[in-house]
Amino acid sequence: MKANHFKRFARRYIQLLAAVLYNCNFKGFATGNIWQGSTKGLCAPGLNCYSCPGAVAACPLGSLQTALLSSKYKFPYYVLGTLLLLGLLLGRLICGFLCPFGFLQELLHKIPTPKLQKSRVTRALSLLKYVILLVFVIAMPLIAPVPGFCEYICPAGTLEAGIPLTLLQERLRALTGVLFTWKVALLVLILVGCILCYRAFCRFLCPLGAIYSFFNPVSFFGIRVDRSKCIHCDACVRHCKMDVKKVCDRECIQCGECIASCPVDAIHYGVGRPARQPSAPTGREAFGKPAAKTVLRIVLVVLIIAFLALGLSSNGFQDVKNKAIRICLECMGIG
Amino acid sequence: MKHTNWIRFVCIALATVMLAGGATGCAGAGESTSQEVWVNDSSKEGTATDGTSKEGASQEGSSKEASNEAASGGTQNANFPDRANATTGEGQVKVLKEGDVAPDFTATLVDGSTFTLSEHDGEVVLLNFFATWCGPCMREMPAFEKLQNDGLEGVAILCVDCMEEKKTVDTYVNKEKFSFAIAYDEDGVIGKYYPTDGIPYTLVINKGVIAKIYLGARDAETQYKEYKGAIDACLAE
Repeated sequence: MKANHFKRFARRYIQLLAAVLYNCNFKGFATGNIWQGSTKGLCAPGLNCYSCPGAVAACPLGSLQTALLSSKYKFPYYVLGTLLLLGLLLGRLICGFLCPFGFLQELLHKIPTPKLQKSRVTRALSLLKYVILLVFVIAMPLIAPVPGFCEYICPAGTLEAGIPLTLLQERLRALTGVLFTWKVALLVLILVGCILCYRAFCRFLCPLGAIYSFFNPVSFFGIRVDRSKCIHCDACVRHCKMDVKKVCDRECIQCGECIASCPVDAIHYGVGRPARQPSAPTGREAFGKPAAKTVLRIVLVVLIIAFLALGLSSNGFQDVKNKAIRICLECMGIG
Repeated sequence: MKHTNWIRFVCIALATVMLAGGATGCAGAGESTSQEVWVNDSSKEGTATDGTSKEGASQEGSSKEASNEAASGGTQNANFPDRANATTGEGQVKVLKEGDVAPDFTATLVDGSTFTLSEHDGEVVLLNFFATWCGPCMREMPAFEKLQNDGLEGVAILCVDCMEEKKTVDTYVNKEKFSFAIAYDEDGVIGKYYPTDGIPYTLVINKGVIAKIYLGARDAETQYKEYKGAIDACLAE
């Protein structure tokens, strides 16, 4: 009974634990002051605004944008190395287990209302997050220079930093304007969207999920399909609420909900080398040959080691910390 | 390994990593009088507004008084006997508000010369804290260049980089070719005495006394008008 309960709610507990651990500066919620300890030099895996009064780590997406802003003067080895490391280790398992904003969206979706089911339209809309990644996260900081996603879109920044800090600090309220109003309106729209549509922000808008999705085929931890057992009934795909075409494709957040739906117990969590089972007679390999994946992993490991070594030796940790210990006015929509 | 075992493994690993990190952070935050410790106090004392707050207005009298005191001759720091000095570490670190005496410091500029604030106590000093990763900071930089090009007499402009490597600041300055003074503050020595929980953070200092404080910035044109207005007001006194 106890084991069944844990098995059923394990992901929820991990999501809750991650959300609490990312935001364990509880005093900050009372005082309105953000955490300024050394841990702010570390990037948390999931989307969690570093200007949240409770946050004890940096947001990987915010750190990436600020690093790109100054990339003309200093290459962002440390942030890129961290993102590659997280991606290679966990891929979108982070979305399914370690993202507080993903957790919130799942809870909102439990509110009983008519729900929008996945379809070709939602599958097409899932490409939007790659456009946002390209335009708002990469191009705008490099060209404008503006951390476009933080400033104009990020609902986590508005919810976790903008609203609480403007409520707690009167002097910040004086700085709010049209941009803040826009961000609050967008937040409300996104939250309502998440009630009606499962993980709407993750599926259609989140550029961090878009980054991690590139690593799903090669990540060390995650969902594995035993192709020797798989009967290609597609029960897993039908059961999944995300816009997946195959288990563990770019849209798969590796939540493991499909494990129970498999009639032949072919899906499980795994670690290590990519699956080497032969492909189905009529099916297609989702992500290329295992040998190619192994080569890609080796290249990524070399890149990660090089980037992190260069980043740490060039004060990268301190750079991320220096940004994250200050209130991000852009995140709050008052930049 | 079974599904539940993996979940347990991830759960324990996550908890261990984050708790270890948290413990390190706690130790780091508590070990010294680093800049960030002081930044925390800002909301308690309520400063760094947009410069138009009632609080600012109420302190106008004391600001003028202190300014007159500064202008009345003698050695510069003799006018402010309790003046804090960031370079020597003397004096109290506190969250600054309009009307306070600006803490003294000597900064090394990117051209190799130095800038000592107290040497400019007879002037209006526009002091800005920025970083190259800060979008609003980058956007408002042309405002300082325009003010510099205005050639205002009795006005000094200084932008202090917040805790970035010299190499990064040098690359920035060489690329942008700004003509106003830009200073390093690699260790945050100056920033410690000018605590703020956000940048850009700009102070208009009139004869050694803080006349206006700005937190954040909009576009360069807007900021130019803001700063120009504040400087003109100080010069008219």
